[in-house]
Amino acid sequence: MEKPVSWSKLPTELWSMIGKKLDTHMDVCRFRSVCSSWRSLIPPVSEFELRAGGGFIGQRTVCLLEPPPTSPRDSRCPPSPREGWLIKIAEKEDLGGGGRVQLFNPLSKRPISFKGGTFPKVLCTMDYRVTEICVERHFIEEDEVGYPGRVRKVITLPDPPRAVREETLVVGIFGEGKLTWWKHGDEVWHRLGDPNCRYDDLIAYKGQCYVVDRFGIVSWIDPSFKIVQFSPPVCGDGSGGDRKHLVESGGDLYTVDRYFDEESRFSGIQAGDVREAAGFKVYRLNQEWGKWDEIRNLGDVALFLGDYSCFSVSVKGFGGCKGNCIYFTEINAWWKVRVLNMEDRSIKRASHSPDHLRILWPPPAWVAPDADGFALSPAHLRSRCFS
Amino acid sequence: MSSSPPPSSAAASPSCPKKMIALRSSDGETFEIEEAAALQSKTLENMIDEDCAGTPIPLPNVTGKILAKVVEFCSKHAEPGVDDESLRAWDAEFVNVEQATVFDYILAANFLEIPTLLNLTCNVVADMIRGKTPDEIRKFFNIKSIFSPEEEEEVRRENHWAFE
Repeated sequence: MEKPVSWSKLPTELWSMIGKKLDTHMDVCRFRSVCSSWRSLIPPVSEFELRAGGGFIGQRTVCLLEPPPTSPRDSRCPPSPREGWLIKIAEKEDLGGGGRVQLFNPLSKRPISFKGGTFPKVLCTMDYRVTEICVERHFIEEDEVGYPGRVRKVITLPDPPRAVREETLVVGIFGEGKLTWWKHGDEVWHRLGDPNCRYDDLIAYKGQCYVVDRFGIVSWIDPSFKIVQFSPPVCGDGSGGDRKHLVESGGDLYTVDRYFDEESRFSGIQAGDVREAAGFKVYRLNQEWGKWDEIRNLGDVALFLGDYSCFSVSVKGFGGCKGNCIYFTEINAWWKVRVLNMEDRSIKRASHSPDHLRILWPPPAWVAPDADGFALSPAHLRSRCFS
Repeated sequence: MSSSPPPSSAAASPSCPKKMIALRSSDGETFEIEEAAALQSKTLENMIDEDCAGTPIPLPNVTGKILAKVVEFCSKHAEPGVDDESLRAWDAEFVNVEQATVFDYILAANFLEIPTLLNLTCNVVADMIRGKTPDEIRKFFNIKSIFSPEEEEEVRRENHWAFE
């Protein structure tokens, strides 16, 4: 048992330094909710509306909700299994000063709405541990002139909570894989990279923008907006898959290579057609040796490949929720949520895989019990969510 | 480790030819530290400039136990040719200690104005905060929740999710 520490004796300027290290909106909010003294040390996270050529950048946050641990238990007893609920929310400022929150399917833009009276109107988040997993951005088009086509994905740099509007850079993938960027004050988006190259995904990693092309070559964007190659292609022999995704897990950069169904590979494909996945390969970038290592077992980690963001969640210690899997939506069919089990490489509908669905649905009883104190059922939803 | 002589290229002002600095902890222990390592501390840097007599610099705020570790930290960070990755790993091990020790390190780093150690230890404490509820944070650090009624209301509102 560690001896008690007189943390309250730490001078205020040190608490200020410590508070400034917190890098998510939620953690800053918590810090400011501890006591009056701490509240005055760190300003609230300022949400600003970021307009970018032809539209503006919206934001949704993926969080993991957990009940706080119960009172310290006997360390001789095994720890009780963790429970969690993975959600995505968007906050909208109300004119009255309060905020309204909308729940979304973590993998897409599909809102989750409950029939009246079933889900609490207000949730006091101080009752839960809330871990911010990922902040995803999306582009909301306003006028037709000014942006270069249908947006697939955007990121902003630097990332909040301390981003400043004038310094924020937006990088996006448009159309079928064109890379573009926009900076505050610009009128138009600028093209970036090789015009003949098809870029599949981009990610903000360690404060920089990294992109992956169809061959699995990862590059980063340097301060002068040049694309600098950072890795070899994922499959040097051309046996790679059809769509690459970039995701960070445990501080490392991963590429997930998606293989489309054989049938959908050869039939006449048009942009917008649904492409079902037949398999995935996962590679971790070995930065020391500058090569990709294929990963066959993710251990306690689950990867999520959503429409607007890719992220990873460690489910270590979670009761009845398995790791070593990939949750994804089918290309051009965001309502189809599937799970790949890395052990047997099977792909199932999320709704047909209770061990994998648990972290997504239903909302646990400790958040929203029904009248009898049990977890909600799909009957409580206005429309189906995980089909 | 620090018994090898410092590199001859290290600068030495003409009036202070010594390369080793002596420090005395609050409980009377004496430690020697290479000048290059000592310069990691802004406090020591100022003291070295002022006093060249060679008497141990008294550090009444730091115990021998902690001073030994601080000397180790500064010496490691003054070593030439250590790559970033190894240094990061070494740092992680250095702070892989009891809370009470982290607490002592942070106070020592603050008093001695060692930016690298301060940065490292602040991050460790920030990690103790991340993900916890405000109540858990208060219990962990033994902090009283004192808010004015207006602040109390603000806090409640900031932490509420009102669903559409």
